[in-house]
Amino acid sequence: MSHAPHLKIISDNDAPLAAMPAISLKGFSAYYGENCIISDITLDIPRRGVTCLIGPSGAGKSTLLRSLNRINEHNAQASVSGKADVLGRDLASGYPDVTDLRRKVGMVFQTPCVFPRSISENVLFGLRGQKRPKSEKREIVERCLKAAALWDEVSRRLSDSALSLSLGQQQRLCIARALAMSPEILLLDEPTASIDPVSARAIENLVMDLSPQMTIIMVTHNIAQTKRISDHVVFLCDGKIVEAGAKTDIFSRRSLDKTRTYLTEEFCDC
Amino acid sequence: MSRRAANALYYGLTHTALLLCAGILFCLLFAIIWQGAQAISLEFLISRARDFGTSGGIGFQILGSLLIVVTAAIVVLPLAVGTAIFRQSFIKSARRKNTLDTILYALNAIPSVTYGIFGLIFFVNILGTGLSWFVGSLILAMMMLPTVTLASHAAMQSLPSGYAENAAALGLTRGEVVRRVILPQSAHGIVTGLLIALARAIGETAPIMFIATAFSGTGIPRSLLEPVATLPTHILALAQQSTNPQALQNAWGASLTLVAFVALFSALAFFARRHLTRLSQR
Amino acid sequence: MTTAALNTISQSALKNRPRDGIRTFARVSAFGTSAIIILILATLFLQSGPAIFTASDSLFTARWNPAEGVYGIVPMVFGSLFVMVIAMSLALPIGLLAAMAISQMRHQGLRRLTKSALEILAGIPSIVYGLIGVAYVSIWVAGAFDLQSGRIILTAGLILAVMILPTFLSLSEDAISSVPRAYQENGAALGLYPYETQRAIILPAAAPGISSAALLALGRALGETMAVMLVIGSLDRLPRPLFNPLSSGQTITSKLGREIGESAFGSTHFSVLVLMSLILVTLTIALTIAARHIVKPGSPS
Repeated sequence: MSHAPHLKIISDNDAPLAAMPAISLKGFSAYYGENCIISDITLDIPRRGVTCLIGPSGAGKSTLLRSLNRINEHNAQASVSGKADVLGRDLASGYPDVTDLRRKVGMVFQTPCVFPRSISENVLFGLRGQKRPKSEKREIVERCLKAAALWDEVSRRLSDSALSLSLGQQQRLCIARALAMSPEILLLDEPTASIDPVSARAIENLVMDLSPQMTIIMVTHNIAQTKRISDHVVFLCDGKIVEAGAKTDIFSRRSLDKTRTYLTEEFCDC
Repeated sequence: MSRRAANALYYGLTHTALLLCAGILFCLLFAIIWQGAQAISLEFLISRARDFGTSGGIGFQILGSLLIVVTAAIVVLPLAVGTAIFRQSFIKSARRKNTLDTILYALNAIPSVTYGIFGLIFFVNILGTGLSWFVGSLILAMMMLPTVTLASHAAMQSLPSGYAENAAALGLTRGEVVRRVILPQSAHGIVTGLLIALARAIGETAPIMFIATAFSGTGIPRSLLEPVATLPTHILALAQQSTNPQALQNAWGASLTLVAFVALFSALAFFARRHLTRLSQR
Repeated sequence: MTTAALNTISQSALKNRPRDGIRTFARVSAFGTSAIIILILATLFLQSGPAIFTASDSLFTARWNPAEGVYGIVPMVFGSLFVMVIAMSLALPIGLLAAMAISQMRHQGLRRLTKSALEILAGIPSIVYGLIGVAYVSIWVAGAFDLQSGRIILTAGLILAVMILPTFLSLSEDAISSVPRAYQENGAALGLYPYETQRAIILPAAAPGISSAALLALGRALGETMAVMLVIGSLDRLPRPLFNPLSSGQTITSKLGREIGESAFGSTHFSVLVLMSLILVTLTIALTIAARHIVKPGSPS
């Protein structure tokens, strides 16, 4: 078994971002039962901007993403090993209460899953148990729905059931819900895979709008989408990193043959 | 209260409740096995009861219980399978399906003692059968009917609709589809349902205690119209003399035997579900 | 079923086409099934008729004395309700909390093991529960409350609680597990504690299933005979004071189990007992039908 080389994805001319990575993995592996899904990867993901995780199905993209906010722990068979720092603290020992981690690292899943409540209750769902005046709550709802590019469509029916929205709108509501927690990192697991192209475009635009203020890590199968919205790209195959770097490098002649093959033919023989 | 404390309290309460349930289960099984094991011997299992059950064994009780429930199973099988087939293949309107379901659930809801009273009125008194083990079997068959029907029907319903449609497309009549496709493919559900119903029926006391059983002086019946002794009614009689330690000990022995039969039928049901399912999907 | 099997069917189908005997068979069976329930209800109804005519003046009193022709069924109805309330108020909270604990288990194998253990508990015959009640629980209760006899309403309630617990627990766990797991994951991704998502989303979504489980458990509690009959003490009077669980009592089922075999067929005494049984059946059937109707419309998609 060959080990992936240590790949720095931060280009040298990007000095401020290199100062302190949002996520830093060293010799990190993830398992499902006996199977090694991610094997011994080393990777820094810079602060701010959009980092896309690409690669064929089964490469371990989602597994990697799901270990970053420890949501993988919901499955008894999932486990990880190696060193992982998230926002300067160790993933396991730095967050004794896992909910602290998840408040800083928001996540949106592939399939939209709104709660069977009203639209505004959905936005405020993560803030349960916090006493805030009504006006502030209204403000949060408005700010998050605007940030998620949903405000214009739903502003007049905030108390309608969220289930009345279209799938594309539901997915944006899920993003708004995550934004309400003011996370520093936002994990998106193929957020546009199960919705229509128009809504998908809306989500791409809002991801780009958000990227100056937060670190967005997005799993995607869509090469064109990666080209449109990413700042950095990590190409995973068979649990290992093939190549990682700035988008401009990955989508140039300088990248590895394997990467170029995948980007043009969406095929990888690793 | 902070959110974290509320969560800790929730965790503590739910797991205490679960531990309590586990503790109850453990205590019950321990009591039944521990007390029963002291009473049971090979001789106890095969010999006849003497001195109103306080000495001797439970041989005839075991035979009587098996006779009643196995006969009940034989009686209920065609009725339940036929009803399930009717529900699956011969009713089209949703309203009639719903009516049949309601009838089955209502049968399931009737308390066991009421079945006994019905048997007492209808068979023992109106039809004049007197105490009869066969009447007990008929009443138990009625009690088993909803369980076996619903399990059979569930198995039929879970068949891919393509089977029946393909067979029908080949020009088979609905009756042939039932016989050649639906029945063999849902056999595992029918057998499983029958075994689950048997596990329940063998422990029933109330339905048979007025109509089918006698406490003493019974042997192997020579006709359909004689009473037999059964395990549950034997335990009942002994439990009512619970101040006599000898009676109590024999009651525990009979209880463990009864629970062992329940466990046997349940285990068979479990294996029927797993093994026969695989068989039919080959 | 394979294509090969379908081929043999098609070949034999061409050869001979028997008359549809199976259709007649299915029809007769379904008719028989329907006839059984009608026969049971009609029999009970006809036999309880005399009670309404000859015992109507004493029927709704609290005094039971067949020797004087006084047949007040109030103590039995009250006893049934009292025992049921005790059993439900113990079994519902414990069962619901334990169901929540099971549904939170991440280990599938452990969950399946717990569920099978519950099935064992549900499979123990009621007469064995009765024996345990006689041999242990009633003696403990007598010791704990310093009573002469532990065969009282409280003991019956305790035994009954244990008997309905597995049914209720198992059904409500099914209801909780049928709520999509994605809710729990999405709640967790927002940094909520499991408890918060459970309470805000999962329990409300599972509520129809849980209430239907409670109604079915209630029906079982009302209809349970043997265990209750052995430990309740069989006293045909209202407890004094009325809500004293440490008094002996009588439920409809324990009354039926004790007396129906001893009363003469056709007598007023017998007829009153059948009437009580009819009341019981009406209640349990109504509860079951209600339980089915709760689940249908509001079930989580």
